[in-house]
Amino acid sequence: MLFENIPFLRGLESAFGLNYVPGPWMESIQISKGTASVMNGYESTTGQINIEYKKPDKSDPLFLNLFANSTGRVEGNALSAFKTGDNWSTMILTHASAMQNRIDRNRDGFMDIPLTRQINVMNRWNFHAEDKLHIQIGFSVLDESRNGGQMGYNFNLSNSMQDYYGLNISTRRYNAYGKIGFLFPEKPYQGFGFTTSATMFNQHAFFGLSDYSGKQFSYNANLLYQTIFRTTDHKINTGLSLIYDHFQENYNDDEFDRTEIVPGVFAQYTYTLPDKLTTITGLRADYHNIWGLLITPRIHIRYDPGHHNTIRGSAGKGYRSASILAENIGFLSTSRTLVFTEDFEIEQAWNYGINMTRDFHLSNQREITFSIDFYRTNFINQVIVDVDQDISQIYFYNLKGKSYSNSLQTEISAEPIERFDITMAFRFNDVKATYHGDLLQTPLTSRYKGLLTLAYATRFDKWKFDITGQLNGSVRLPDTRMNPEEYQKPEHSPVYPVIHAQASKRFKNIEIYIGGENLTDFVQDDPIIAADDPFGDYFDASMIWGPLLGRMFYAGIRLTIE
Amino acid sequence: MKAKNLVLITGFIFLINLNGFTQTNNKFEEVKIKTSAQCEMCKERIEEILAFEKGVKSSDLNLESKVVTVLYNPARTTADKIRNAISHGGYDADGIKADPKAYEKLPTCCKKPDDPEHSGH
Repeated sequence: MLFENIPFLRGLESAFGLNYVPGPWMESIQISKGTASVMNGYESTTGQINIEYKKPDKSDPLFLNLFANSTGRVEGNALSAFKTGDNWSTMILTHASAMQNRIDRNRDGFMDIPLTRQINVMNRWNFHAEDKLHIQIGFSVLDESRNGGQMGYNFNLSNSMQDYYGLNISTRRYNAYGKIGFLFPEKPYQGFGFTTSATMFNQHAFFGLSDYSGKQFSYNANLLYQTIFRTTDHKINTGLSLIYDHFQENYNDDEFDRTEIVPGVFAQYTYTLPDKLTTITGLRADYHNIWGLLITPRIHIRYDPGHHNTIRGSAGKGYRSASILAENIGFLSTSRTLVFTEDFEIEQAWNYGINMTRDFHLSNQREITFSIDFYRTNFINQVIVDVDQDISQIYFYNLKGKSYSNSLQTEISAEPIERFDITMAFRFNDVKATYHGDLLQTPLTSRYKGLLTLAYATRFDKWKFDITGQLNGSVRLPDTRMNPEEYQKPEHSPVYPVIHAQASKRFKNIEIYIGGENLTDFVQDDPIIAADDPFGDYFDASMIWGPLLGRMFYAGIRLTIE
Repeated sequence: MKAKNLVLITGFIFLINLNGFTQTNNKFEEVKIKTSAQCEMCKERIEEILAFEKGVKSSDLNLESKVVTVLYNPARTTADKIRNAISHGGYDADGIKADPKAYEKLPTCCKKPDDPEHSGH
């Protein structure tokens, strides 16, 4: 995950990731499949998401968004940008949201969705000097709390003073970052860039009688140099990077401390044969204080054979240092004991992918785009979370055997009438790993997913209508055959659809919108095992494969002042 | 009341209604405004500004003459308010100059030809 090309939401933060990025703050989001460029580090193996926030020099003096939904969630976003001189501009982005209604539609005694409260504030500055020098600085603070558990739980009393099961996750996050970009006056293809970012992340939680805490301090710095060799058909990017991470996690009596210091160097060569071929080959070397030398080769190719065809391919290696507890925080609301049998090694995988896209032109000048892609990931090492071996434990160990993922996706998109877009996509997933000697489908991952979206807008977006339908294939559920009969679950979950719809009307300075989610009201039946005995031996709230909230309606208003 | 007065009053009311009737028949008025539009993007921008202006029914900008023909309801807006809206968007409108702050925000192809920031296309 990248924030304007700076890595963020890593380590302990990766579990909640996009919850910390308010929708109205985003200007755009770029998603790529397959390994990413070596410039951003050794981590991205199967894909990369880059989020661009709204910019101080291109945003309005005031943007306000108010939102409420049928669960009682209310949200407010206020953004304000203005120039403070010839070259400087600044922006304040704020978000506040709360959902404090206890809802138990399935009557299992547990809240269907957690009570939440979040405040998120950011201030960013931008400096431009004649397109040659560009400086950006920003600071942000986030405070969030989530409360869940049984309906009768009192969050003002400690666990010892009540019989109910409760859970809480409280998070505080601070970040500061800076970016400098400099292009040489007479040579716009040559320049330097420096980015740096520091994050302090603190999380406290309890799940019934178990306590968890996670602290992370991360610092990264990246120095980049870009130039060409003879012509702009040969681009070279090179640079140095430094990552410092200090992790401290506690789960009941277990403590997991880790400090990672990783300096690195990389080089990337981009060759372009105009309108025909582009190849990007990159290599990076990082020296990890715990795991030694990590070599990361990556290659990306884009080929245009003509007749509106495009073929893209990518291959590369990726590494990741896993934060076991934080990434599996969903497993902590369970009666199972966590068993750590050995020290964890760094996760490593190879990823290969190919994508073919073709545009067809219809007689009335309308276009249909058809694309198909296939990605394969082979894990050399992976931290396996084994929930099948024993019903009363969760085993964590390094991969022993094969672990891979094959993913095939086809997509068709078209605009049959002006401003009416249709997209249909289907994806098959074959994800298996070796659990205690057996090659099994990983639990809780769907075999397939289908998507259909229809969107229509009148001229100038005066009216917009959207409808989205998703079809979710079955997932394999962890083995519950050793449970007493009333606490057993089937081997697979059912196939289920989810439908969302939204309509919006735009006026001069105001836009109003209404919508509904999960319109077919599909909800997972009995998501919590042994909800009637949360402190017993069989309690398990981690086997979630479907929606927990049924049909939901919302409405909102956006106000822009120029 | 006397019959003569009644006939006079009725006749008078009838005359007023006749005037009113011809007025509601031509509810919309048309105005042609000369703008500083440069490119296709300018046509989109100006027509979009006018689409959200209270009282404007439709607008059509001719890029050759740079004149935008606007159909509007005179009970809800006036030709001057329309010119102001165009100026607020960063374009000249007849005698009213483009708002300088809005002009600065225009993309380079929309800036005036004698402006060093103007880019050709």
